[in-house]
Amino acid sequence: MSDRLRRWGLIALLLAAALPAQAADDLAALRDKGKVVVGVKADYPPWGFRDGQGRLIGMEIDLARDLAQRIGVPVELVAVQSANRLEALRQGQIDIMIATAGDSASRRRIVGMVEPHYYASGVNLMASRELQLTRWEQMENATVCAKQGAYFNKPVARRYDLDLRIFKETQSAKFALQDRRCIGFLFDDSAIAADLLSPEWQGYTMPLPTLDETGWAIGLRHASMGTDLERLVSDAVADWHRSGYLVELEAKWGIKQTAFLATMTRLWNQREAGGDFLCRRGADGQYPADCRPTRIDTQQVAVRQPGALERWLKSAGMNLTILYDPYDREQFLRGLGNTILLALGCILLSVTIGIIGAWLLGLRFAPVRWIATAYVEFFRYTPPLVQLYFFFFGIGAMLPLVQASNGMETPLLGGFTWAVIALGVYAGASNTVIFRTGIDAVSQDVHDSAAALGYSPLKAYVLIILPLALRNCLAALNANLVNIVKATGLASAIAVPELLYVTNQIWPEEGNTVEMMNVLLVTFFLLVSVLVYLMHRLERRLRIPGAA
Amino acid sequence: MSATLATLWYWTPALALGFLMNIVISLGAMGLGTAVGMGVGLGRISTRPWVRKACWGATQFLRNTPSLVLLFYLAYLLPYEIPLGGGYTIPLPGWVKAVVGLSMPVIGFMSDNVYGAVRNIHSDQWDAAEALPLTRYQTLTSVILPQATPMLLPPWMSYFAVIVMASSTASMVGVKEILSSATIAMESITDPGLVIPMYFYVLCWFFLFCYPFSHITRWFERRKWQ
Repeated sequence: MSDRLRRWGLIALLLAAALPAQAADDLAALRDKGKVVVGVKADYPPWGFRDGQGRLIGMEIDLARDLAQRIGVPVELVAVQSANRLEALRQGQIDIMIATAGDSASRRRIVGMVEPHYYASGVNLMASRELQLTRWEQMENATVCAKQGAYFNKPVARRYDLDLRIFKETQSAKFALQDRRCIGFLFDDSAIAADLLSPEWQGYTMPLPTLDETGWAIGLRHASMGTDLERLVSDAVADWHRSGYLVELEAKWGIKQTAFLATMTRLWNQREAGGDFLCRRGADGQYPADCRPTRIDTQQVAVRQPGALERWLKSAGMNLTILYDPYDREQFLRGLGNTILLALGCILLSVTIGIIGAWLLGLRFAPVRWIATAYVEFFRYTPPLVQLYFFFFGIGAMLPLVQASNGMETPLLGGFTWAVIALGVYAGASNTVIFRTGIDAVSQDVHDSAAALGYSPLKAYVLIILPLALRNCLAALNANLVNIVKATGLASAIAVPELLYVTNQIWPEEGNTVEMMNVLLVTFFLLVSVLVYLMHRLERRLRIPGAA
Repeated sequence: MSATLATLWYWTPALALGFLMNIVISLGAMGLGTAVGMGVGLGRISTRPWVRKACWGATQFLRNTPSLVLLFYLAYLLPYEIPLGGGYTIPLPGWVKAVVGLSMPVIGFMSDNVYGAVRNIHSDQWDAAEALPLTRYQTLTSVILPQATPMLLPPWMSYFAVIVMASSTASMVGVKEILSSATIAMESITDPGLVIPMYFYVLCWFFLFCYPFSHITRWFERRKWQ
């Protein structure tokens, strides 16, 4: 026994030794590791995107390669998304993050940000020329598409009372704008400017003034801040500004020239009377504040004074913003309400489809039976998530447009409606089989008795057969309805603001992943348990004493 | 039309590789979930009441929580790597987290099925085993489980198809499987006219793989009655 244990232990140890080493925090560790893992975007042209063959290219990829050269190790590029880039860096999946990340005080709580900033941009709106927008104030209560994780989403939405529809991928948000699901696309002004150059966006423009110019920073783990790695990175950025490399890249990738880079090139090339560069490290090791115009002052006053509840929870190590932050709380409750509404809608639709489908499957006319069978089999044995994408992005884009209250044309059906349709159709297929089995289990005697009593086929079906069939299949039906409630989370993939979706908006910004995940788990468990309990009560009430 | 087919054909190798990942994740989830689930299911007939209650509670929790939420929970809270001390670590790539996440509903499913199957074994078998005499462990391994396990195979295979379909949700936590490969393809193509054909193509991949499992139960019944 101990021989086997020793053998397996040795194999495990050898396997572990053969696996890649852990995350590196400073230059020595990186050189030991033999490579530097840099997180970049794959969905944000032209800073980080994929070419026709799926390879990662872009301005930030070029910067990553330059950094790796300065460190003296090969680079490994890892695609990250706005939702997970800070976590990926914090957990050690990547060593350096160059992923279009705007610097902010709240983000510095999660990871370290290197100054000087390598880029800066503001936020603007891509909207149709027809709208003739001129001021941000006109956007009150307007539906605006946005990309998940953008730092400006929450503050701009709050400031101008926007109704944000947030999408995981930029491409999805742009499809939605083209489908007229929203009035505009809230995004980085340089990215919008790049898009407006291409012919498919001819009818669109960037009409509003650019807001909130914010610096983009290269991210490092907190453990790496203050090490020689941070120094190398910030020196590299200084060098990029000084040598004009960033302006060169801007031109190479077709990005509209920004005032920020022009200013930085001038500042960093300025020399003092004695011939030294104006922007050099001072006695404290920092670059002068004037050379970092987009810097974040870490002594920023807290926007909200913490109340007693917040202080008590934080002293216990818990950050439950949904309890004391009005915006987060409102979003969470809205998500909960939408989940319940979505579940109800799907249940209604799927039961209706099930009843009709079961009837179709019982008809004598064979082609109708075949079509119904084909529907049932296809929708039962394909994943509901893919069906959802198929309906929302595929069929949804082909439907006609209608006049909305603001005079704009919008698509006929919204994300919520499509989620109800897709999940209802999916569950309806299973319900059809369940109801059909239940109906078939009603013995022929009952049919004959109904006929003998003078019931028409339709009346017999509705008043006698169906109620008996329902009791036959109640257990299976309950299981299926519970599955519907569990599946509502899929709607988050098409930006329906239900529970999973809003939770995924809250934790990347607040940094309270553990707390929100636990809240999510417990909430769903309670929701489903309540439904299961209600179903059991219903089962007991409907039971016919003595029936099989 | 032919341009559409050509594009779909061009992306087929990437989609096939993605679907292979779906299968790998599903097999891993079924393997891990079956092993743990059988333990939990047998724990529900344990002689110790606290073990029975704990296993019942775990089963209730796993069956009543959406697999998607469990997947998100584990994907974001499991660490990137597990340190073993001495500088050695075991990395936990995304697909491994997806395997653990998808094994949760399998555990619940197997627990319920094993419990039901074992309880279906006539009590005479238990009495005879006690009379022989066999210890509880010997009874379970030599008498009860060999009779209960064949009954589990048809629902197990049907559930495998269910898990393969559920593996598509791994795309929502960043795993490179068929749905995210299709999304990458859409990012590279940026032609709205290709959306319907691409997603229909992905649906067909799943249908062609999962549909045969629907006839498994009937095939097993026919074999038993031969």
